[in-house]
Amino acid sequence: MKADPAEALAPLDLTDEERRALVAGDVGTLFRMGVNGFLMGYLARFEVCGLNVGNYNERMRAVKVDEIGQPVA
Amino acid sequence: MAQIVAGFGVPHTPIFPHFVKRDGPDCEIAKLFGAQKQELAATRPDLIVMFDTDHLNTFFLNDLPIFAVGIDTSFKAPNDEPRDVPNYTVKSHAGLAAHIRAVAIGAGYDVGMTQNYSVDHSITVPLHFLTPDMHVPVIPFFISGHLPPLPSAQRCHALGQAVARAIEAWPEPLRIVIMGSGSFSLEVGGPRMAPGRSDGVPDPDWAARVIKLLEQQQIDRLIAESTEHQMLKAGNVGGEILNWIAMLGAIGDRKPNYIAPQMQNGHAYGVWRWN
Repeated sequence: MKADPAEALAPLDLTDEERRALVAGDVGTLFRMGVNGFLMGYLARFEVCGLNVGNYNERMRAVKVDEIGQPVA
Repeated sequence: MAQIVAGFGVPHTPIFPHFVKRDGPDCEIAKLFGAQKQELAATRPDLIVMFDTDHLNTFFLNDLPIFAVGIDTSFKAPNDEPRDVPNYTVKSHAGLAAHIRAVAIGAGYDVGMTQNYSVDHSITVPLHFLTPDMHVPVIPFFISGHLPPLPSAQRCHALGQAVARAIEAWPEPLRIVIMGSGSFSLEVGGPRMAPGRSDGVPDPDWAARVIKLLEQQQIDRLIAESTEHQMLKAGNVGGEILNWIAMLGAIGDRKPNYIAPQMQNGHAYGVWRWN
């Protein structure tokens, strides 16, 4: 997963958009698609898909959410 | 007969063992857990029942109970690699765990179970600080506090009462401590993180309100105000307060010896001792 995320993800049942977002570390898009934010935090912790604590934080904080943390348009 | 001798509310921040190793015994975290460790030793516990929310490590999205008990003679901890936490084997008590589950089911709670299991930082980190030699057996009681729909605060409090009835009907003369593990307001990995961090405290006013209600022994008020909306507003792990509320149900209506807040983390360290 660290060396070649696309290859590691190849066997998984993901849509093209899900796969693109994950390989790109586009966690904001994934969150808006319904992925659990807590769970995605592991991507930054283990620094895969180009993520680290800094850019993960920036991308997630860019998502607008309502009072209970759900994404809004 | 078994008896409940104390209640503890504990945080479980996974990076805390690393911070204490880095900063030494005089840091705030070491002192706060150190004080609780002394209080716990003074209760001479034979066993701990810990209400806890698993972080998708013991259970996952394909198999997620609202309530579950760990039933085995021991379990491994931790299963999620928090920094500077060794691998432990923690003793448990399969007979009492099965009895607690049976009594809870009899009281109307459809409680799942797990055997041959491991637990994550949410159980391991408090034990790492409070019983580092792991000499006290532990029964984990899992409450789903992260993924809505969440169980209600009222129901978790009554569940704690059912667990107390189960313990009080157990024939061994065990001194049992009840623990509730978790935060009052915390977002982990979600959009409400603080800048540059992996977590944040979205609703510090709620954390302060919880601490005030605990100190004033206004548990009915705490239950009424701990709605699902409020828990989710408090962060994506804000439902962990349900573990404290279940603990409060088990120990009964008592005044705490102390509640020590750590407001920057949205949590506290609480002790209720009477025996």
